[in-house]
Amino acid sequence: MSRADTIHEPGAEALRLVSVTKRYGTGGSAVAALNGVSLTLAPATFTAIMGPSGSGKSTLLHCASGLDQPGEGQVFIGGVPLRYGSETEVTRFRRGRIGFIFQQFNLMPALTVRQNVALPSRLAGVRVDKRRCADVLTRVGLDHRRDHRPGELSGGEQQRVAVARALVSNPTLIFADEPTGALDTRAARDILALLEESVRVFGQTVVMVTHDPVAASYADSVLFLADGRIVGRLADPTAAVVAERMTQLGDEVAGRRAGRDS
Amino acid sequence: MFSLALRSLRYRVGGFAASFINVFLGAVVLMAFASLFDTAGEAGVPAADHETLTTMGYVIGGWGALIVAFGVAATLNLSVRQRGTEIGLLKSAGATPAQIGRMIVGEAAVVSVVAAVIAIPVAFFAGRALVAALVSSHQIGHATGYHFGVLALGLGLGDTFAAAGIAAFVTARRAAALRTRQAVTSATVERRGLGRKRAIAGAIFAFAGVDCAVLTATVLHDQGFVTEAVAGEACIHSAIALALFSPVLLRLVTAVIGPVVRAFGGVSGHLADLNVRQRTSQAAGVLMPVILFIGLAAGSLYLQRVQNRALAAGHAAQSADEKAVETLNLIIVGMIAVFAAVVLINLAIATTVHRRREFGQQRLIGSTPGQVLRMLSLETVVTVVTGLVFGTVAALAGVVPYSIALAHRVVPDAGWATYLAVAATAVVLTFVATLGAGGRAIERPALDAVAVDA
Repeated sequence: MSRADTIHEPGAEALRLVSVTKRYGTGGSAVAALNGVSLTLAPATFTAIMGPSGSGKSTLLHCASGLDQPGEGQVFIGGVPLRYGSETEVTRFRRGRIGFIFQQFNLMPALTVRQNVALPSRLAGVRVDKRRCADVLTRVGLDHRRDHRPGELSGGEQQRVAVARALVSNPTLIFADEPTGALDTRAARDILALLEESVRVFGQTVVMVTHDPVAASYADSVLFLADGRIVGRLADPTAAVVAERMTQLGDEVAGRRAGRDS
Repeated sequence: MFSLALRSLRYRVGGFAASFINVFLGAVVLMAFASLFDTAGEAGVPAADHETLTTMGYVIGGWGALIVAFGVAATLNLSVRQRGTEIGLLKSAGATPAQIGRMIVGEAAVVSVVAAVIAIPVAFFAGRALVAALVSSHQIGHATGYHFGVLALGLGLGDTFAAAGIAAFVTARRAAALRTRQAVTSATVERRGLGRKRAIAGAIFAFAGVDCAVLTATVLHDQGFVTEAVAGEACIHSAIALALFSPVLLRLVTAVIGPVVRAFGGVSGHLADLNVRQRTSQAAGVLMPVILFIGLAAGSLYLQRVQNRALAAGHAAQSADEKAVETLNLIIVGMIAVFAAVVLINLAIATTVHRRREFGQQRLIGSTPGQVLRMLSLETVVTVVTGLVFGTVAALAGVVPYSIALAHRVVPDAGWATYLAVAATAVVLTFVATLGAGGRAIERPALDAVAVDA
């Protein structure tokens, strides 16, 4: 990495990946899930990442958020390089910088809605701001359910709690891995509207992996991934254009794989 | 459903290891003691030896079957509870409750038969060692030769299969009763309070325990073996009653020490307190063997000490019968202790391993591995403290009345060392099993842990 790369204007970038590569397996059977991916995302943007199954979407998200360690390359969050020490160090780094929303919600079953939302702050040893928790829960429309447990909520409600949890520490970056994958259309729309609001109103940066063209149409731009590489970018996406591009991409990848296998 | 049972067994051998160990140990003990009947039945065995051998066979055979049934039920029940999702899926795919029941009984049958067959040669040698020990302690004559035959196999295996069968039947009924929706949703909204049957059983045992304790100290105080036996039953019944009430007891203790854990444990303490409160039934699962272990082991050992002290005070030597009773007591205590320890270790490990996903989730949202382990340790502290308190209560339920009866003093003059050893064993077993499993659960990357059974 050259010196110039480390000099940056604060606030000019929310996320930067520099030739990030991740392989699974070893030796000849190793499969590159990510193959030298570089990208820079400006603050207060909403980016969707799309691609056929096995294109490396989730791996990209995991590497970018510090949940997984890339084999090569580097990740900068708000200009600060992510260092891969022990899990404890990476966890401390993520706190307050990164919020994560999972397809399967990942709420703690023993905790109430409010306790779930307050958990990241508690874990970070920060005083829990009750007002802020209540505000965020009101924002996702669940303040009246604050003393319920996840098991008593619908999928859409659980995901809204997960969104509230990701928002409460006011992270600069929010990663969402198929956040609407387990939801019906209506619940999905609620979640996407919340993510959009985070970007437009609160200036946070959202990176969302999805396979749903409608979900992607909420983003400012869509990055297309195939076989571990970025193969295209689409600004101001509409569902129709995204769907068409995805079909094309699927055919291309299938053709390439068939050619490689024969 | 039987072929499904076989397939599911082959798929998750590990999940049945604990049931297997329980049946195996149970079969060894039951067959070894049943072989005493064979030995007693040999031609030329003196009448006194015959009586010693058969008494021992009956006592251990009866108690042993009960202990084995309890152990197998505890482990089987756990393996079923952990497969709640799988059972829910089977049901939603069209399996009837009866079919689920047959699958579980089928699995238990295969595990039991394999474990029992492997146990046969081990039981042969265990029985031989047992007879040798009886000979060397002069409880039976040198002339009596060891014999392992039809009765050892018939009674021992019969006892084992009956115990495993009852355990499997109870578990299967419970699994079949799981409602499909309840089984499929990961929701852990657990029922508060005890089931009605459990509360009634607990009350009956509690009554029996108190009854035995009062009898020991009053009308039966000078009846020799009967006094000791009734005092022993006071311990056993009280321990079972308290084990049955364990969710309630855990809630009580949590109400008292929960705030302390919160105050000193930081966020880990906060989570530990919430977890114990929220999943009392899981935590109470580990609590049951702790109470039984401490109550029965400490109870029996101190009854024996109180008696030996009383004899020493009266300058009397132990008679042959008293010696035999002591041997029996120690064997039963040993057996109970080993079984309770197996169940305890199994429950502690299984409960913790089952939470791998939860720990993974917690790490993904910002918990460090250290915070997870601290939380787990503090949860274990709450469980262990509860177990120590009520296990000790169960032991005292027999020891205090017996001490009143024999030595006319409430606090037995028998030293603390044995109690501390028993308590320390329970504490160490629980912590090592739980934290060992916890450490392994957080070894793998959080992302994998969450993906495992999603």
